[in-house]
Amino acid sequence: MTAIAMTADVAKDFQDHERSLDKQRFFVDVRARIADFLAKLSMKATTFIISRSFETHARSLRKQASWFSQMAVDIDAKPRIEPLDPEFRLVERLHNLESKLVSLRSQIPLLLKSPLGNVVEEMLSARDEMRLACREMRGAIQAYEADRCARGEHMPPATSEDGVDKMLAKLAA
Amino acid sequence: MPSIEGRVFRGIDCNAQSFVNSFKLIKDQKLSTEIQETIRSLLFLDLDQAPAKLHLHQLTNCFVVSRLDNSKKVKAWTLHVTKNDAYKASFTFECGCAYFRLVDEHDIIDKRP
Repeated sequence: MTAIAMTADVAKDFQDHERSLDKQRFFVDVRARIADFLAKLSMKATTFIISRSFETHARSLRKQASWFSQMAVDIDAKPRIEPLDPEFRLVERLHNLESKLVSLRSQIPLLLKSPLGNVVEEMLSARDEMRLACREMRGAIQAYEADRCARGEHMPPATSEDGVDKMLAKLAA
Repeated sequence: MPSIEGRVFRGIDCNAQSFVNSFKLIKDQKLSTEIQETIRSLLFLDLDQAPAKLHLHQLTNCFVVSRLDNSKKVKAWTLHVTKNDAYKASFTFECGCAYFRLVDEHDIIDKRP
């Protein structure tokens, strides 16, 4: 192997390694956010249970929480995350969770008048924080995915003839 | 009657590493082009009115991991991707999108889709 070819190989390896580190850093950050988010969620989920009207929401939120914690374990276990692994599903999950938090809005005013008023006030602020966190994380993940698409590392499913042609061209390359 | 939204190929995904790897193993350029043509022809095709030559069908009693949710299992689909019926491809049909899994010889795909 010539010196030039060797240098190119080393440069490529380094580039891959650097990208992989970027990815790791991104997921470490996401994971920290999820952990923080979960701590708030599990604390508040207990509070939700107090009222029977929130039982369904609480169950659903706890289900989401358990999914997030499983995902955190998965991210930890896999040093390299393949395209379309859980992180892409995460965007949809966060959207669902955000919708659920929004749907609580209609029930909260009733509870504010009840003896649980103080607790509900806390829930309101926690809910808003969670919604903001959800939105922020979704944005970060979508930006990350768009960046990967731009670099040609990941392609979403093709939904047009042009898209299919592009995907097949990449496949044949 | 199934909704049209759920039974038409509205998206095609060939990004799975397993699919890319198995596709790259097919060295015959003619076969490879034929496979690409077949995949291209799937877009916007009605799953219930697919041309008979594709032999598009779900494998009975064969569930594979969903591409959208690792914790779920979904039925695997297969189709003939070459005219001589020697090669088949497997995929999962989820949310209107075909997520291709593998492309290989007929018998191999039938055993391990």
